[in-house]
Amino acid sequence: MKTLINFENVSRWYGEVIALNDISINIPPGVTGLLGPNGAGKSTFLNLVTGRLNPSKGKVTVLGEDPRNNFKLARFYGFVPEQDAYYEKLSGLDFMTYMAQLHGFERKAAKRASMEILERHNLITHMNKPVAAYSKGMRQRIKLAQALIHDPEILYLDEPMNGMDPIGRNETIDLVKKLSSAGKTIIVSSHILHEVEAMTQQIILMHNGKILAEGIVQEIRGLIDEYPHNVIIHTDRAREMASQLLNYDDVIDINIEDKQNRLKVQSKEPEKFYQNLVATIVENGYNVTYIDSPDDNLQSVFKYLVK
Amino acid sequence: MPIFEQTYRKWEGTLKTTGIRWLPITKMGIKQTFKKKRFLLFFIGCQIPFLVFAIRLIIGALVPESIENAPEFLKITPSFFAHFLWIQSSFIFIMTIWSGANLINGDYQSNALQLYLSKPLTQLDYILGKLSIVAFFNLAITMVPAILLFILHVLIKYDKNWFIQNLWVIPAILGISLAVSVIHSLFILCLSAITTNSRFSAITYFIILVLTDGVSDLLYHLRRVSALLTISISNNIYSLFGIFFGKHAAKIPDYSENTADPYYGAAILIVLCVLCYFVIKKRVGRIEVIQ
Repeated sequence: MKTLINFENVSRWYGEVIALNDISINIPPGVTGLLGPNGAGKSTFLNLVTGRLNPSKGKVTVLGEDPRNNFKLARFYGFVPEQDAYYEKLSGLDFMTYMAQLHGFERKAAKRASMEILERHNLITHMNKPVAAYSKGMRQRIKLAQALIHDPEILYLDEPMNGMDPIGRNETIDLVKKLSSAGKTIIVSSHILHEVEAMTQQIILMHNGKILAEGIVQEIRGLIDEYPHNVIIHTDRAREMASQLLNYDDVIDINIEDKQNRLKVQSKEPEKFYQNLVATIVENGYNVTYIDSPDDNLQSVFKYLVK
Repeated sequence: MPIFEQTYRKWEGTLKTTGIRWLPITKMGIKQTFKKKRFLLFFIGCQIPFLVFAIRLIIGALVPESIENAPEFLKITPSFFAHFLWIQSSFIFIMTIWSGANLINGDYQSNALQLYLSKPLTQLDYILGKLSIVAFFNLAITMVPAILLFILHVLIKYDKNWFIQNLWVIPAILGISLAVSVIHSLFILCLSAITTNSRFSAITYFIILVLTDGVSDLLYHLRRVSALLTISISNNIYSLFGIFFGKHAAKIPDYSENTADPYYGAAILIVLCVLCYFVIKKRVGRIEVIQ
C-alpha cells in the first residue's frame, strides 16, 4: 500500500519532557484518527508532519520528502489548527482571499476560488460579515475552508470538533467523509473516540508520546463501552432537559449545576446518546450554548491499556 | 485501483510558482493600517514638511541667479535634502510604533502565526512580509518625498551642471532612507515578537530609545568622550547621515551636537539589526509546549 506519511524511530523531546518516544508508523491514504488524551503527543505529531518541528531523533517523511523548512510541501497539505486562528476584523471573503494569496493565487483567482469554497461550506451569504460576527460553527467551517482553498492532497485537522454543537459536528463529519471519498488523505486528531469513529475505522491510539494501538477501532470501542461516557451541556433550561434525558436507557447519571445552567451527563452508549440529544434539542427548542466531552473515559481505557 | 466519488469539486485554477511569496502579507498589512482613520491623518500630517520644502524649493527657483546675497536657505544643495530627511526621521519614530507595534504579537493573539506557517512560506518570508509593512510607511515619508523634491527641482530649474554634480544625492537618499527604515522596522518587530501586547512593545520601544539617549547624553556631558554617544540608538541612526551625505550632513542643524562617529555607530546598528533578526526568527519558530 502507498504510504504518504512515514515515521522512522521518531522521538521528540522539549528539554527533559519527552513528547514523542521512538515512534515508527506508516500512514496510508484515507482518513486516520489520531486519538489520545491531552498531552499524548498529538500536537507534536502534527507539528512534525507540518514541518514546524524537527525530530530530536529519527526521520519523518511526507510524500517522500522531509517536511522541515520545506515550504513547497505546504502546497500539498492543508492545516486546520485547534484554536481559532483568524483576523477577526476581516470579512469572511477577505480572510479567505488572503489565505488563497498566501498559497500563491493571483488576486482575482484568489477571490474567485474563495467565493467558490465559501459557497461549498455554506458561508456565501455571510461572506461580507466580519469573522468576529461568525458563530462557532461558521468559524469552524471557515477554518476548514482556508485549509482546502488550494485543493490539498492531505488535510490535517487538529481537534476539529472542539466546542462545536451537534449540528456542526455532523456537518464536519459529513465533510470529512466527502473529502475522503474525493481521494483526500486526512489526519484527524481528537481525544474523543466516537467522534473519530464516525469518520474512520483507521485509528492510531497515542498516550504519553507512544503509540499504544493502531487500526483497532472495534477493540477500543469495546473497552470504551465499559466506562461511562461524560458529556457536559450548557443550556437555558437545564432541569427540563435533564428530566427528558433521564428517560433514555443509555443515560446512567445526570448532575445539574443550576447556577451555570450546566448538565453533566453520563451515558454508556455515547453514539446513541448523541442521536437522542440532537432530537431532544430540536424537538424542544433548547438553546444549547456548549457541548463537550471530557476525556475521562478515554483516560480510563488508556490506563487499562498501559497496565 | 480505487474509484473516488467526485462529490468534492476541485478548483480548476493554477497556482503561481514564482513571485514574491511574502508580498500578500505586506499588502494586507498596509491595507489594514490605512483603514485606521487616525493613522491616515498622521500619515498625511507627516507630508507637511514635504510641502514646506517644496515651497522653499519653488521660491528658490524663482529667485534670479543674478541676485547676490540671496538667503542661504533658498539655495538648493545636497544639505537641503539631508535636512529634509533629518526632519522626517523624527516622524519615523511615531510611524514605526503605529504601524509595527502589533504586527507579530497581534498574530500571537489571533493564533494566526500557525496559519502563516502552514502556507508555502518560510519564516524568512513571514519576517520580510511584516518588515516591509513598517518599511513601506517609513519610506513613504522619507525616500518618496525626498526623491520627489529632487525631481521637482530638476523639473522647475534644470541645470545640467547642478544635476551631474548632485546625482549622487539620489543614492544617498535611497541609502539613508532604507537604512533608517529597516533599523526602526527590525527593532519594533523584535519588540513585537518578544511581547504579547502591542502597547507594551510600543512603550518598550519608546523607553529604550529615550533611555539610551538620556544615558548617552548624561555620560557624554560628564566624561566628554565621544564614544559614549554611541550608547544612544538615535545618535547612531542620525550619525548615518554623515556616511551618506558626507560633509553636507554637517550643515544640518543639530547634526554635530547629536552624532557619534558614523562608522562606529553603523557597526553598532548592524549588530543590533542582526540580533533583532535572530530574536524575531527564534520567537516566530517557537512552539508552545503543553506539559
